[in-house]
Amino acid sequence: MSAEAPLLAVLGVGVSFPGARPPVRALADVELRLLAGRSLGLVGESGAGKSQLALAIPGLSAPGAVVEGSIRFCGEELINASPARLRALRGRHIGFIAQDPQAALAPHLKVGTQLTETLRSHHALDARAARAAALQMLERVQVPAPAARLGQYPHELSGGLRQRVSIAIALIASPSLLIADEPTTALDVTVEAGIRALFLKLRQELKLALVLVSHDLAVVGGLCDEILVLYAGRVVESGPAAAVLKDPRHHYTAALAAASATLEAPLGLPLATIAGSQPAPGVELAGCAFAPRCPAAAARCHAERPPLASVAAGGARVACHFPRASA
Amino acid sequence: MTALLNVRNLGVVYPDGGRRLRALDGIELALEAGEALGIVGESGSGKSTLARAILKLIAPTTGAIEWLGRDIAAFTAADLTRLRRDLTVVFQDPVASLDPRLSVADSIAEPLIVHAPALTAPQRSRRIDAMLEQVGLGSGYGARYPHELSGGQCQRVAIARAMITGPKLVVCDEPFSALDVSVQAQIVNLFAELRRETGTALLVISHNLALVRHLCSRVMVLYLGRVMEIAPAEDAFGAPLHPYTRLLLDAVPRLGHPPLALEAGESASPFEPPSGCVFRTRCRHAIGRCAVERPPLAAAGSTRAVACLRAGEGVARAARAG
Ligand SMILES: Nc1ncnc2c1ncn2[C@@H]1O[C@H](COP(=O)(O)OP(=O)(O)OP(=O)(O)O)[C@@H](O)[C@H]1O
Ligand code: SF4
Ligand code: SF4
Ligand SMILES: [Mg+2]
Repeated sequence: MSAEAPLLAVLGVGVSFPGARPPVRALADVELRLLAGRSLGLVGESGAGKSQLALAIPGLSAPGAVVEGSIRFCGEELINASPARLRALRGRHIGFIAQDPQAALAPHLKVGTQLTETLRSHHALDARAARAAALQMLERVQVPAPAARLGQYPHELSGGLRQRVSIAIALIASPSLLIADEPTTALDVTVEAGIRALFLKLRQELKLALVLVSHDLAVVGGLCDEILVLYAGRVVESGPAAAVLKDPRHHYTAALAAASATLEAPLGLPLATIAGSQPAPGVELAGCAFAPRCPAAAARCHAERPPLASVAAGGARVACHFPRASA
Repeated sequence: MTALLNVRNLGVVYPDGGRRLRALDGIELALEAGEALGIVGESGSGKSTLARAILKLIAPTTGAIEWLGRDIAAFTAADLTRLRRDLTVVFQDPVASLDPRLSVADSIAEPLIVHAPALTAPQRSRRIDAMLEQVGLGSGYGARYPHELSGGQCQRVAIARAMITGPKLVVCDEPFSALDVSVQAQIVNLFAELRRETGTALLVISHNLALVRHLCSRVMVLYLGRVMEIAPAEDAFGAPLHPYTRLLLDAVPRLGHPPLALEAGESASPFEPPSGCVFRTRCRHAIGRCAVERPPLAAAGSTRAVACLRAGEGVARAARAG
């Protein structure tokens, strides 16, 4: 299986904003591989670079961003691909759901129009066939009364339905990869649970590969095969999600898991936190970026940046000079 | 002892074209100084309307809101200025809540300039630097602008802004939804610590039940403008008495469990709330009576109250299988 060509291969990717004051390196040396139909969860602290990575893959980095390295999708290099080529790939082969749920939907266009226009910009279909496909996609994302929704405007829908419609738009042209940046943030817990169950169903039905950004480890654990933990713009741990979450080997992953509040944890104690904060944007440390907060940091950690290296046969890799012992 | 805040039989009706939307219906609540109350419920349950009424951003249709024993509807301009110092707010959208043209330090300075005009500029910047440290940003962030910060970093600035005047109550409307886990934990601990040290009470609207459980002493569960259950947070989430509380708990993602497909669907329309028990169209335990009788919010022991005709049968106890 390991010889299978990946759907997505990211190598040595960096994103920087040289024009910012001070100049910011949002991502450095990011490496990931995703096979067709598999799912990858991107986790990490605010500012770790999750959105920058999610945006860089389909060529949506902000103006002023300098993207370097290699991003191959189905073998095709996307870095320095023409804007027209990237536009053609987006929607058709790579669906994208932005962190800002408002961004996906045009407020002045009916749901049906948005679905059919997206579809017809990628596939030669007449209006009737496009409408039928739109209806089918709304059914697939479990929008109740789908025929009536086609004639509605986004503001006439609940938050949960709007999110289902933006998922429908992202999937209408049958992409093989869906990138979703915090797709359930700010939704109700019940609606969120429904969207998660929907992602699980869609992945099974459509053989869709998924890159899911989330700051909830339990969400990634429930939906993703693989996990990639980012810290200060670098990958600190990656591997099979279940194994990494059960037995994190990087001190940051372990600290993140310990800080996650649960409904079972004993009360009356402060929640476990991670002392200090991530280095400010623009600050580059010579050694391990987590060293100022790491309980296991030694002199070497401050001087020398740890490379991402395998720690387990199962494919887990960590960037740490002194990984935690396997539990 | 006078409660910090009393909400008495609060009803809010929004006119909406020809229709009327009853966003809140008969809400009763007494919040003591230093208490932390969580409010949970789906959108359309009236959480933000309750927060807005307490903040005097909207007027009640029926009932009253009393701050330190006085109806806020009768407040003078001077009373209101004091209220804005003592009762502050942290909004859901951290980026939109900050003025993009102001540096972080200038944003935090604004309420201080209004409410503590006697401070000298150096005193003010010392207070701001200390507050930035307290919210986990570090004073180096003072010179930055919102567009240079990630969502979580902006929320910390908004919290610093809300805490800088030393308020008696901070109303937090989904304060955690944009934050990553370790910051959530820090902010929960920070709020808990500030509450202990300064007696700042909190009213926390959040869909993160685990964080509400950790931060709040009591929790109020709202659905379609009515109180379903009010109880110490540990009891409400450990042994819920209302089937709606149970539904909310079953929706929480849990490590090692694939997502559950909940059958209860989305909230009923607030324009046409079901007769009798408003939750009955989604309730697995509904019986004939539930469509005709409105369940009263009835005491269940000395610290809890629940509005369910079948609460006595323990219908909400069993967790969903899966
Ligand atoms: N236009 C920009 N100019 C300068 N720096 C930027 C810009 N956009 C993002 N950054 C910086 O890039 C880094 C990564 O940001 P990113 O938005 O990817 O974080 P994130 O992991 O998605 O965080 P969150 O969980 O808050 O969404 C941060 O330090 C951020 O401040
Ligand atoms: S390299 Fe050192 S500082 Fe970094 S995580 Fe490992 S032990 Fe901690
Ligand atoms: S009153 Fe009836 S419908 Fe309402 S929650 Fe109780 S059992 Fe369910
Ligand atoms: Mg992001």
